[in-house]
Amino acid sequence: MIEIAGYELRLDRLYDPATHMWVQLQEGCRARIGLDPLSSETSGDVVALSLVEPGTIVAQGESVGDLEAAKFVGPLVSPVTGTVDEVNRDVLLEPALLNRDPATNWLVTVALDPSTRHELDAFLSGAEQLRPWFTVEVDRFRTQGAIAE
Amino acid sequence: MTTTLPMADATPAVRQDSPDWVRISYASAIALRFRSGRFSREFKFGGINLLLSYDSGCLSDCGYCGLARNRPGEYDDKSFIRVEWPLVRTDEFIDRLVRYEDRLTRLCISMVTHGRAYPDTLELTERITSKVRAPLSLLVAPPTLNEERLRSLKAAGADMIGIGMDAVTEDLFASLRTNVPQGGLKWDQYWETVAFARDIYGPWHVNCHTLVGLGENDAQLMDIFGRLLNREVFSYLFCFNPEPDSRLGDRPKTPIERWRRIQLAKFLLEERGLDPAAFRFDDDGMLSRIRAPRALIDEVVADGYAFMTNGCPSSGGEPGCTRPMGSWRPTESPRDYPWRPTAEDQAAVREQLDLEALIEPGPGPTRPAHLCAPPAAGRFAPNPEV
Repeated sequence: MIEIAGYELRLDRLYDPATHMWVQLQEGCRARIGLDPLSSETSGDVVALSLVEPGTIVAQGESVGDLEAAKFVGPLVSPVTGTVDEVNRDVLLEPALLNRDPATNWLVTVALDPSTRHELDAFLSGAEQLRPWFTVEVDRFRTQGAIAE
Repeated sequence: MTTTLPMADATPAVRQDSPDWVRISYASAIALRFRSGRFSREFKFGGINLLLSYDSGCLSDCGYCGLARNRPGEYDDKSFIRVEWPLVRTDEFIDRLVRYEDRLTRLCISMVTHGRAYPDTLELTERITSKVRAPLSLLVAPPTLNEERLRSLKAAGADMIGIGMDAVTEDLFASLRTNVPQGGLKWDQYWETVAFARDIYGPWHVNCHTLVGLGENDAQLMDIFGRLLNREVFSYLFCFNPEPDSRLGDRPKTPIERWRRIQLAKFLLEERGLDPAAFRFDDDGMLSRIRAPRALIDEVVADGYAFMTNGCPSSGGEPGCTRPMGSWRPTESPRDYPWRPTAEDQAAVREQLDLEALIEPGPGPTRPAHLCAPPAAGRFAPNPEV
């Protein structure tokens, strides 16, 4: 784990800079996905969540659900292409878990489409890649006023 | 994330009451960076709302209110207008008002019914207006006030007074606010406060909150709009949105079609001077027709202001208190727009209004312009969003 600008990022996963989602590869060409800590924090207090049903085929950039916070609503954009094979019922029942611990509380697991494995190449991992990207992003959200002082 | 915020302790050893502590709306908490978060849509927001806070809570028991005395739960855990109102230290709050002053459009202190509400509101008004130039409104609790106190609040720097009438008929007011377990609020006292405030603060410096969806009909709403208009008092429209666990928690939210029609009719009456006889009601008192030139209606819909939040103005005369998502969830179509409606918004509004069924040809405005509610500065400028 590393800390960048006050945020903890786990190093056992990849991060998609386009969607601010993390991707953790699992056995059997599967990937678990969740919100990175900046996405979680700048959404505000999450009050409701919807996720697609297992079996849903999603392409990279398509929604796997919607997140509703106190003053914000937005789609949960899949960073990968595949078939959703598991949904985290715990976060559906208690959406605030996404604010409390976004690294542990995943959203869905996707069986990756082998023909689109190249999507993973654009993701970032390791301290050397994560630090410059995440530092800039924190500054950007801070400038927008989305981060508390 | 381990940022330490100057906010209330989870388990305070001492009371965190006003005037040393205040609650602020969630949107205000984001704007002043007490809380992280974003709005679904980017727009300029500077209408800061604060609420007095006491360990013993509000002593009223209004059937629809999240702060009602008999609503289940500890006062600290109660929501107001359905969302949490973070508790913040007043000193830090005022420091942040100063720091972000360039983006503030309007400030408002909401009183609650409590023995300390008046002295604390007076102190907060003095402390805020001595440091910040943004105009300050007070949403007052009539049981705590009299004429002299209203004068003192004006002398302290408040420029507008709001009265939360909410229920628009005496019977409805009594059923929701007077004849309830810990009620006792008095319709006549509320109107007396309106009269005192109107005398002291002057025309168009007083407003009454009117809630759509508590059980009134449209004719009753239009009647109160007209009476307030004649007294040069603003009526600010609010959409009923059930507060979970309140006595009206199971009452359905006002349908958006009805809400839009009321927004349009109110605007036509108040700001475009349409004669009250132009509004036709069915046997249940619900608005069925508006007789008006179609060009007038199209202009009002395109202008967009009729569908924006009713709130006190900024010092420049634009809408200052915009309460984003105060009566709608981020997933819903906005009830009152905190921004100037875009072309997409307008299309939705038109569909919700069903103008073909609502409008029939009729005469134009009859009320002289100088007797209409004053349009805010710049209101007749072309809508830049369209």
